[in-house]
Amino acid sequence: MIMQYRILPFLCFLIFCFAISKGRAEALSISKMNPAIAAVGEFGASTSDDPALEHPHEILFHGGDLDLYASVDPYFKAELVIAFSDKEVDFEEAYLESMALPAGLKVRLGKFKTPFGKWNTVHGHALPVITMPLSWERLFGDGGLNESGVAISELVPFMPTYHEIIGLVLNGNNTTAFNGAKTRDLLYMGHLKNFFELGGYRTLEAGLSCARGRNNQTDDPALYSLIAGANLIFQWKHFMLPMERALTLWSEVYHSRRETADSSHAVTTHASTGFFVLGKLLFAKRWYATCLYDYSGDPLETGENFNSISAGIAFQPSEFSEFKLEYRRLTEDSHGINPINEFKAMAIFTIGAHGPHAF
Amino acid sequence: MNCSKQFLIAAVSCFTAWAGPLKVIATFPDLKWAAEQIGGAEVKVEALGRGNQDPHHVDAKPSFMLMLNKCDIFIQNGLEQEIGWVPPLLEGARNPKILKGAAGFIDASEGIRPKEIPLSADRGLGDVHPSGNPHYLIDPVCMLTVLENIHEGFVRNRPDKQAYFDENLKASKTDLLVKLIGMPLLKALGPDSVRALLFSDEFAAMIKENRLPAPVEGWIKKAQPFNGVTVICYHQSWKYFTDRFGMTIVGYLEPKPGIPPSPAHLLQMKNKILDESIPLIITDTYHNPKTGNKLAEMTKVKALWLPNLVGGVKEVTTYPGLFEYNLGKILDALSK
Repeated sequence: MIMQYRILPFLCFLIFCFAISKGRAEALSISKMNPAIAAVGEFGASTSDDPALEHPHEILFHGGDLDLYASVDPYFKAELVIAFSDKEVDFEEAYLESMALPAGLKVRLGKFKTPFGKWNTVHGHALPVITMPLSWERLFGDGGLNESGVAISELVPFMPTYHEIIGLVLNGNNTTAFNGAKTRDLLYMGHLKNFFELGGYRTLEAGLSCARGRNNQTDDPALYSLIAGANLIFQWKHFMLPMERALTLWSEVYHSRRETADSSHAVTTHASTGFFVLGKLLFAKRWYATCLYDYSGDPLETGENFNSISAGIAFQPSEFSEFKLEYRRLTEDSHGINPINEFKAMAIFTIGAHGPHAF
Repeated sequence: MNCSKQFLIAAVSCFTAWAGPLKVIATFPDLKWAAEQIGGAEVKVEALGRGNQDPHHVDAKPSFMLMLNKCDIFIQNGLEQEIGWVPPLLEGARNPKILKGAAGFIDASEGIRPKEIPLSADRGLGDVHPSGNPHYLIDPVCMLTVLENIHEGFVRNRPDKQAYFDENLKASKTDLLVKLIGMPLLKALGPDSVRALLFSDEFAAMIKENRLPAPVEGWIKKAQPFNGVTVICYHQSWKYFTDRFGMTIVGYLEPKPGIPPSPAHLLQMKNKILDESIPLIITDTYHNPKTGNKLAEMTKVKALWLPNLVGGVKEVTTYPGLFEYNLGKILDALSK
């Protein structure tokens, strides 16, 4: 899945093109045709009392993203998000999206963060916590359910409130939940997004998601995973000072039914559930605090259930830089291992024309 | 041939009548007011942002996408004021009629001469707008251009109602000019000459040297007592207003646009107020008045918390009301 340095020639070509365009007398008019370019960098430090870690104390540059975004023509827009880490370069997202289809239809083609819940759609640097919830990460892997495929969406007509229905057909090349890219099966997913204005700067978003696809590479027997999820996000903002007082309560729950086979090819279904509840409080201009409770069942049948609670504080000098500090206490339920305590810090910066994140 | 042409016109008229009023969405209440002046009974207008919301940071809520999905015309302030929230709304609205370049997209800033265009678009300078200061709605002369842009957009979408829109444009421009400079001067010079004069830098000098063919009245006259007064503002949102009414901004509480004030910068501002005897601090109602009030308390000057947009305070429900309120408050503050 990871294309180590395979896209480097493409990047060099890109830089070469921009360099040429900048160098010319007519650079201004040409550069206006360039896509919006932004780069995000993440630098972090962590310390942990986990005895299993080789390097419990770390200071490292995690990497970053290079985002390119533009309209292709009056009918499509395109976005490329290239993720860099210390060892790998990969397309985190690369997609084409329709802008002018009739009847409010929207089609997205390419590789993108799929709308399984809300958490899965947000880029890591835009999330309010440093450590991802295990309920999500153990189910979908490091980068989440980030797949190649086609998504078709439509607003539910004749409704006074916002309801969007999305159907997706994906390659099914996830590192954990769905691993059937080399089989004849595809991964099928659906999401229903509902949004309600509650009045007085209070909003509620409620979503339902479901995905079914192969979790093994062989056809004898063919094994499937079915995952259902729900997300609920409540937001409140102060009427006069929305940039200084705001509260977000965010919860997602995932239920997984994963087929497994024993040596005699007898198929059994392993069920597990995970969820998280996040609170984010903006208590002053540029400052917010977070608290996350996370429970991860046993989605991969390893016999481990995890509970974690974390608390953090973040300072944003501007829209384009952020410093976060976080403490997490992680408990493993079934084996009675001592709780693990972690402290993490992260600095995130953005340069260039970064587009706004979705609400 | 003639008969079929008449039939076609009748059919188009029937369809237009059946289609009902144009559904218009504006980004701010000031633009909503302007659209209602031009559109009258032929439009139904709603605003996305509120007057007390920071116009740079309105949430791109899905409920707004739904409103945009169902509308015929979208009006934005432009000059990158809404760059942080309008693009995702237009993309999510799934309405090709209102995308940039389409007939239903109106950029109200077309033809506005922006102030404070930065020499370079560098974030080290704060939240700069590469095209210039976008807070032009607080200048009634700029509103004349906005009314024309909206008129053009409405005519583009409903050519059969052009006469009605023309009449409304003329009436609303006259009404605004009367409120700004008074009827005697408008009658003496005519609307086109008045407008050209207001856009030039000569107008203030002509008032001062008594070179105008008729006495000036309206808001310009009301503002004459504070002509030449220096002020400190929280954000760069008052430049068009102070230039129009003869005040001078000599500092900002934000050290750079969009960057909240630091203690060191506030100390600098405090010294400036005391050294230069600056009588007034203005904070717009979408910023916390706490900083301005604290500084006013330390320096014994007046601090005002004024609406920069219609609806910024509950008393201001119309565009003319915005100037009546702000000019009245400034006069009160300076006369005490």
